[in-house]
This record gives sequence, C-alpha cells and structure tokens, in this order.
Amino acid sequence: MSQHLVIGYGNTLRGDDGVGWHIAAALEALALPQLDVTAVHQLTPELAARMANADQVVFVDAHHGTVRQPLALEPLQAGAPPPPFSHQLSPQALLQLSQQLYGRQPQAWQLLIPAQAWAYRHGLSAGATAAMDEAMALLLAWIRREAGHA
Amino acid sequence: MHPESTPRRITIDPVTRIEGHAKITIQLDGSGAVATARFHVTEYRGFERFCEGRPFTEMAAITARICGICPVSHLLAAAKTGDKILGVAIPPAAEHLRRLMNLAQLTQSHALSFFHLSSPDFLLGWNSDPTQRNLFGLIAANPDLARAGIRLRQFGQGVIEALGGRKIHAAWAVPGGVRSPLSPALRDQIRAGLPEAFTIAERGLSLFKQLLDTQLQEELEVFGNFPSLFLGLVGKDGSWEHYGGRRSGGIRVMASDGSLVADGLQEDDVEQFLAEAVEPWSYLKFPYIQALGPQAGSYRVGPLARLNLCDCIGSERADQELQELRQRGGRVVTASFLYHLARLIEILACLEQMEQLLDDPLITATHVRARAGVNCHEAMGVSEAPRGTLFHHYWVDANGLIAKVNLIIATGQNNSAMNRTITQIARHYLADGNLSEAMLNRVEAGIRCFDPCLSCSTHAAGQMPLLVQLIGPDGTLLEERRRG
Repeated sequence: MSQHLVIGYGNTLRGDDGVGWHIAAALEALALPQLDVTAVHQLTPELAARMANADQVVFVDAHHGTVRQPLALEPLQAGAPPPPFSHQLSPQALLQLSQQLYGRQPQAWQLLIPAQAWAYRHGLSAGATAAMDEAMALLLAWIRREAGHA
Repeated sequence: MHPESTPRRITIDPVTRIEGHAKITIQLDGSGAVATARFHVTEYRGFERFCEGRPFTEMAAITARICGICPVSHLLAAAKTGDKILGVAIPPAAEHLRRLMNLAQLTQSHALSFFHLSSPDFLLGWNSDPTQRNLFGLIAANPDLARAGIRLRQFGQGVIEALGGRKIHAAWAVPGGVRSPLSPALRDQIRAGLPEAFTIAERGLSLFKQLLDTQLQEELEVFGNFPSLFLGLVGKDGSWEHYGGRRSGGIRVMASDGSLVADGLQEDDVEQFLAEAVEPWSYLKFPYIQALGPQAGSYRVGPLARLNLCDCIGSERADQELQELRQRGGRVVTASFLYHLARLIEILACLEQMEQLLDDPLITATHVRARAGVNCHEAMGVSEAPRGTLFHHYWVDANGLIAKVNLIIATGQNNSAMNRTITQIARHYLADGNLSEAMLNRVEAGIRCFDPCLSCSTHAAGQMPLLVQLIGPDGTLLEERRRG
C-alpha cells in the first residue's frame, strides 16, 4: 500500500501548463520507495481509487494567478460541488469522490507553481524551470519528513 | 404546456456527457409538430491543415493529440498509414501488440461511455434531478456500479500504459511497428487483471439486459430505430474485426435487410467509394456512399455496426451475447439504443481476445519494428475506433513531408444517423408540446447512443456545451435552453 501520493498534472503541449506533469515525472524517475507518483494530463475519476490507498496526497499544478511565495503546500478539503462533466475534476472533487466511493480520503495539499508561458510549445519557460527546482526541493523535503526517505 | 400560437424559444446548453461542443435545434412545422431536429457541431480545430509540412513519422504523435479519450485510435490509424508509406509489412509481434492496445482502448472507452456517461440515465431515470444525473449522482445511487466502471476503465488504461509508457498520448505505435516489445512480466501483470474485468463486463451486461427487459422498451423503438446501411471492418472469415492487418477481410457495407452493398473493400478504394457532404449549420461533415447519394448512402458505424456486419465474433462468451442481441433485435439490429448493449458485448469480446493474444508466445517477441524510407507518396490507413471506422489519408513528398491530409472520423460517419435519431425522439416526445427537462434529456440521450467524440470528428478540443433551440415554422426562435 502506498502511503504517499504525488499527482502532477497539466498539458505538456502548452508550455508551463505542463509543469506539474514534469515535476511528477522527475519525482517518478527517482523511484523513491513507498512513494506513489503519477503524471497525468488532467484529473479523472480513476485517480480516486489510487488516492484511497494513500494516507497523504499532494496535487501539483501550474497556476496563472498569484502564487504564494516562497512555494508552499496548501491544505485541501473535499467538498467541491459535483461538476456537470466527469472527465476533468478538481482536486477537491477527487477527494470527495474518494470518500464517497471508497470510504476514505487522504490528507491533501496542493502545490501551485507560477506559470507564465501558455502557448503551444514543449518545454518550460525559464521562470517555470526555476519554480520547478524549488518545488522539487520542497516535495523532497516533504517526502523526507513524512515518509522518512533519504 | 405552451399553446402552439405562442412563440417560444428553448435552448439547452450544454449537451452534457458527450465529448465536445454541440447544439440541437428542433424545427416545428405549421401545425406545431416537429418537422426536423438538427445536431449542430459548433467547434472547429483544423488538424488536417496544420499537419501539412510535418514529417509523416510524426503523424501518430500529432493526431493522437486530437483526443484525450481515444488517442490510441488515431495512433494506430496513423501508424498503419505510415506502414504503407514505408511499403512494409510490420513484424507479426508488432501487429499483436497493436491489437492488444486497441482492445484495451475499446474497453476503457466503452466503459466510460456505459458506466459513467450513459448509465445515470438508465439507473436514475429520465425524470431525475438533472443536477444529480451524472457520475456523482450515480455514485450516490449505486456506488458499486460506479466503482466497477472505474476499475474497468483503469484496467484498459493500465494496459495502454504498460504498452505505451503512458495512459494518454502514448506515441508508441510508429510507422513500421511499435517502439518497444512487451516483457513477460508486464504480460503477466495484464493477464492478472483480466478475471476482475470479465466479472465487471458480465455484470454490466446482466444489468443492462435486465433494464432492457423491464423499463427501457420504449427507447428501443424511439431512440433512432430506422433502416440504414452499416459500415465497418470484418475479418477474413467474416468475423468481428477491430484492427485490420493480416486478419483483414476488408470493409463490409450491409443494408438493414442483411444484403451486402460492398464486401472486401480495401481502404485504398474508400476515397472513390465515399463522399463527404457539408451543411452550413455544422462543422461536422456528412460522409455517405457516393453511388447512392447523401440520403440513401448514409450509414452507421461503431459497435452496433461492427456486430451487425460480422458473421461471428470468434470467442465463446461474446458470441453467446451476439446471438442474444440478434434474438432481441434481429439479424441486423436497427435500434440505435442498442449501441449501448453492443458496447458491453464488445468489451467482453475485447477481454476474450486480449486473453487469446496474451496466451500466444508471439506477444513477447522482441522483433517489433520494420524500417524503410519513403516508398509510397500516398496512403490510406484504417482501424476501428471505439466509435467506428477511422480513416487517415496522407499525401507526402519525396522527403516524407505531409503535403495533404484527410481524416474521416467515426463520429462524422454517424452524423446523419444522429440527426435522424434526435428527429425521431423529438417527434415522439414533443408532439404534445411537452418541453420538459426529461424530454430534452431524451433528445440528448439519443446523441449519447452514438457516444460521439466531437473533439475527434471536427478535430477540436471540447468542453461539451449543448444548446437546444425550438424554432417555429417561420424561423422564429421560440424557446431555448442551455445546460452547464
């Protein structure tokens, strides 16, 4: 059973929008024990099953507006209203789904990464790349603290 | 109730639980009865245009981006078209692996359509609260079924991820074969998921057949039940086929009376066989069989078409279900509502065929790619997507750069059928001027029988709004509703 889960999401064809995806992919490459990581295009209902196996989850996403500086994990609560469609959910809706379907939800945070370049392109802007480095350090510290990984 | 003499306008926006943007208009005649209903696709992206100038080897990766629901379909059609540009026969193991991925794709897409998009209508009812008639409402009413749908979709996506390295947009099928073989460990991992997937598929079938026998009988008659042609791939022996390749018996076209309009048609001949009509009120084209014209030549594709066209499926449990389907709807089933049942039968067929493929030692063979340069300058590839037959047609220059592209998408081929379906539903339920939410949902549900992917069919990104308009005989917008 995975106790800690990181879900990074975004569209890697839209520049900085994919920063969450890239962070998750980089974490996944580290193959840390007891850490479940997934990089996805968008949040879909199937993730609720994976979340139900976790004690703690962090959602990593690009953000267009003002982002807390320095970067920080912000607590999330379930309870977003049900969306009319089910292909693209919010983290809050996924938490609600996990609770409704599996009777449990992990403690959750979101990590929002400041993003500026949203045009059709691969790769990250210099600003998002720097923010990615900061986010990786923050997540690794969280993992070390919570899961006792080196 | 609204008197016929009082002009009204109805708009429903969005049309929910489909993939893409759409609008429905219902046109009344002078007596206030429904003259026609139109399904307008209001989004446009132009993938065909911006592929021009790209190397044909990139087409699989580019066209897979058309859709997040059925990227594998475009991946395979593009790779098959690329095979023909190279002029190679791909290694047998590569064909096995592509088949395996397509079966997984059909499974996960059909699971989404049935368990999450359409079952809220069947289980919660046409008259239920529209704010609850969605996945979350389904979870509240039947959490076991919602979990089952999630598990089946997870299984299909897991197979795609195991093969391609990621669930969505895995650029793994390439001209000449596939990028990587399947390891014995991953084969065993996929195989281990099959028993649960079979259980879920059979549970879905049992549930839906029970609903058909008890409370969904009117829908069989009203939701797009009309004679038409059906088009799709069949195997060499006339069996159910989803990929083509070495097992292909070509394209078959069958009329509702079971007579064959065409059989053994090769995809290279499709351009002469089909034509595409356009209408000013929709971005979605209307393909038809050229020799028969736009009306008589319109046809249906997809799960129901594939089951109508085949002589058998070729696996035990799915063949039993096929026989039951034909007992229920005739040798050629014309009730579009039974697309839902056809999807469930195809899930079972997919799981059985996956089992067969995984038992074949060839599935883990390591020679999976043939290499060559550009040997043909024009090629057409075909595969069966969840929603029906998908054609990719490329023209390339001597360097393999794309000069022209034409994509004939499954949802477009069902366009005429979708319009006939909503007209039939509107005539049945609007005849007394009843414009209730439940009636409008039935009109939407008529579209959902076909599980259309508007993002694919107009090559557009979609969020899924639906607008329904009621238009009087003089063209006045009488009433409109929008949802979302």
